[in-house]
Amino acid sequence: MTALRVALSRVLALLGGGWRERDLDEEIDTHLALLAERYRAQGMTAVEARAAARRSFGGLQQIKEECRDVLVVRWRNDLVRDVRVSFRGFRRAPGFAIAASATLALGIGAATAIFTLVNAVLLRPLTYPDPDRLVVISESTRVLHAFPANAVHVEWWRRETQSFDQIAMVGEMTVNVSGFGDPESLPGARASSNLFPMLGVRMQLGRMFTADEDPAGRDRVVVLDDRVWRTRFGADPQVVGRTIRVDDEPYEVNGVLPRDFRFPALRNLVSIPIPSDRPQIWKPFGLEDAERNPIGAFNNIAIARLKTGVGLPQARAEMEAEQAAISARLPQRLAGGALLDLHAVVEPLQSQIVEKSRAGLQVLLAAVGIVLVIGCINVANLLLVKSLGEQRELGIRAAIGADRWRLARRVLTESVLFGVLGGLGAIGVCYVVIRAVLVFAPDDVPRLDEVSLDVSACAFTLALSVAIGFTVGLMPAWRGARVKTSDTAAGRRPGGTTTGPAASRTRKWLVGAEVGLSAVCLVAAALLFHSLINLLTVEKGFDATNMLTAAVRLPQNRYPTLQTRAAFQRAVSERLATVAGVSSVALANQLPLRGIGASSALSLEGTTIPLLERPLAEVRSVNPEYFKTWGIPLKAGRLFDDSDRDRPVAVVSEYTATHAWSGANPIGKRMRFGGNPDAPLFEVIGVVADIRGVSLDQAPGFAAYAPYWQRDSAFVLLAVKTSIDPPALAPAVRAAIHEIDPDLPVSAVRTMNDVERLATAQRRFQLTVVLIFAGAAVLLAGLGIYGMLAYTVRQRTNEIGTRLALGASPRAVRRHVVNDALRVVGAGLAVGVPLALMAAATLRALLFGVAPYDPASIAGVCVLLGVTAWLAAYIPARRAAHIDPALTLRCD
Amino acid sequence: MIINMTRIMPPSAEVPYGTLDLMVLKTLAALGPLHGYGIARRIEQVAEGALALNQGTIYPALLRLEQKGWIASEWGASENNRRARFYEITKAGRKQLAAEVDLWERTVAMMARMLEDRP
Repeated sequence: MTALRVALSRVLALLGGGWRERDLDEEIDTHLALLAERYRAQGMTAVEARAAARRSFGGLQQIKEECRDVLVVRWRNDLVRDVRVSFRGFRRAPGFAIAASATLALGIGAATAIFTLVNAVLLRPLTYPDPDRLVVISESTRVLHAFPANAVHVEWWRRETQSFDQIAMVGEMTVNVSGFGDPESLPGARASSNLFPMLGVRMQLGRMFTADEDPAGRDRVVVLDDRVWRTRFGADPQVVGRTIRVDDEPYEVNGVLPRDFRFPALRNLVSIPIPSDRPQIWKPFGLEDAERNPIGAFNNIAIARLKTGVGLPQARAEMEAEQAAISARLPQRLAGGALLDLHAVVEPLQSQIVEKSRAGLQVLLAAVGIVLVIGCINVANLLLVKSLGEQRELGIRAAIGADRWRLARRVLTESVLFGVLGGLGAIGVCYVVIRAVLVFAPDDVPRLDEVSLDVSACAFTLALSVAIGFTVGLMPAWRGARVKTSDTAAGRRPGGTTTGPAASRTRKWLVGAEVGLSAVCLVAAALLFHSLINLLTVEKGFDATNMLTAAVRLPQNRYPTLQTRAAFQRAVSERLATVAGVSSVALANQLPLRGIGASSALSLEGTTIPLLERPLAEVRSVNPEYFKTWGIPLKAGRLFDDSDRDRPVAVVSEYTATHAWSGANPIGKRMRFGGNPDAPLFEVIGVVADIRGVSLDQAPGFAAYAPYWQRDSAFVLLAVKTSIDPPALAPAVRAAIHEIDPDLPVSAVRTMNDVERLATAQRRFQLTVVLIFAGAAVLLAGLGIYGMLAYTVRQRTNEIGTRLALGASPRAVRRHVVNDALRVVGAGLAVGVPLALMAAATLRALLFGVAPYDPASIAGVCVLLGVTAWLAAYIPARRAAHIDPALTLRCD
Repeated sequence: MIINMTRIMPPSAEVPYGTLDLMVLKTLAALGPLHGYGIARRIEQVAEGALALNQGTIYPALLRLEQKGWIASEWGASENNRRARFYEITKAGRKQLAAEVDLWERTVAMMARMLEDRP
């Protein structure tokens, strides 16, 4: 322990600088004072005594300097010597050094990269002032949890609650922008004027919105995102004050948002699946009178700033009370004769943003952590084996008088050096992994553009590497310090049977731990793999082959009425049908698998259910050929056609037919979309098969289809069934649309297969990463098993030779070695499988169609690890069986 | 064996390192815990003026001995009530002292024999 304390004090002297020195100063002062006192007693004056004391003490500075040298120099010299010896060792056995450093580099690099990612996305606070006081307020009912807010309700919240400084409102908006370059459809947002001040925005150019610009009619101004300003306007500083055309209306550019302003994609601000990208263009909220309906649309994201000192529970309680008050206040007539039962969900902004990515990222972090631990175990194992091989040398050194602590320190220096080398490699690995993640990660993951490898991450990597190097070296170092000189002196070979039962037990423990940990990683990978397969092969209910899709948006001022929009859709579908290679055309307000298009409460004629507890259906406005084009079969009744031009009719899905009317025949029944009792009644004329219309992992629910000429939206999603390769038709489809209206931007032209791929992108990314990590874990565990057996066989050459000489068959020997491996794997699995089951329970949110305790996955993992062990044991087992008994008996 | 000692001998010290270390160890072994001034004073008394000792040079020696674990130190109060560091010999220090005394005696005996043969 003294040696450790001394080493520590030296390190502190070297690093901290001076604490020991100041100590020394005081000590010397005392000495000088005592000396001076003596001279005073001999009759000198105080001044003379002090001078004499100085004289007989000697050169003060020189002595202090010498003390400093003693404190630092020896330590430094020893270090330099140890490092030099270690490097000599590396040169002698480069394979070992490379294997150890590379394992650490890969493990630490990958771990730091994933941690950097998780840190940027999940942990690092948002880049707004006081980010922990920002919250998102959603509405909620007993049947539907957390959906966007109603605009009128938000106005009420602002007036009637005390918990918030501000409540801002953001709405989704996609706009056609023209007036510079080609017309283009841009993702945008409408925001109340208090949003930017709340987020602490300092405009890069111009100004933000004022409260005067909030009301509809005075809202003809926009603010540009930095990206769009750079790409579309060439970073023109004169852009402020310019007029651009947004949906064919003139808007004045108010200003440009700062370069570092980050606002998440709106889909990451709500809990329900909607498609929406990061806003690139902003306008004031401009609430229209038509939107002032307290039971109308629930489309708005409410972001609020808590007052200082107000906690989440307090805000939640107040919002609950407020929602109860609103429920009671809503006019009975409007609510369809029944009360609403509204609740509120108040979530911190940050956790809302990462909600959909959290589970996946946590899995990645866990997987990479496991790989790192396994890697460290392997390196520790390598070092341990190596130190056993060196025991004879260490023993000799100890016998001729080497300080034991110096021996231990040499071993430790070596492993820390591995750590440093590994750490340098890890920074490279980390850089590559982060680049790869940024390239391959789906853009569904929020905040990815905030991910970067910075100096602190590099420093963290290096520090982690050194710490790991130190930790994995502790055990071999301890063994090095305990080496028995008597053993070596007595000429016992370190490879003989006298050393090692303890060491080989340690190694078996380590290898068993590796197996257990890789089992956890593998089970996770197997479950995710199984889930993805299930998802890819799930019955979608529609045919996605040979489909080309495209999106257009019909701006309000060019297509102000249902009739004009219907005319456009009729013209486009007729025009497209004549294009060569097109076999049929589907139109709808949303594509399958792209999330919610429009969801509406189904108000069945004569119902008394509270409004927001009525079946919430995905309502698609489609053309008659929609069902044929997507291959959705009719189950009962008939489909609508042109003869239904003047009669509100609808088709419902099978699920809706059985669940909404509780088993009664729905044909001929009538219903309204939404809660307005004055809305037209649609007659159900047919039932079609269910499809997964919203997302792959969402089972078919309530769905209804109405003809586009009776209920529509500004969005028209086209899907063209082709008889030729779909992408080849893209120019023809664009041209056909532009023939009808040359100024409409056509966006998102892609095949349905691409849409499907996008829908599974996040899962495929997760799975790929976890699979890579699981593969690495198995490989490392296999290497661990191999190393353990190879060493054991070498160590037991004598014993095995003797057995063979006494008549044991080579087969029995081989089996003995393989059994050794299988025993370790069995023990590892015995611990690893229950651990994996616990881990799998946390995966639940990511699984699809597979139970966390899926027996097939677990059995598969056990078999895979068994086979790995067998493969790893193969070479050492063969070597054992081929030992020449005569040779071994002779050589000892 | 003498070669071993030159390793830690500085080029031109008035008092060879090894000697000073030995003197410090011996002093502490004989008198128990002492501060630096006490040790220096004791060495001066024993040397009876035969040694030109710069008292300060015992401090690097004390640090060295402490690093080797042969002495241990602790803060205490000196006779004039100032803070002073008191040094004490450790078990390892006593062992080292015994070994060095032995070595020293043998060296001295050998040197004596060698010098007797002077022509």
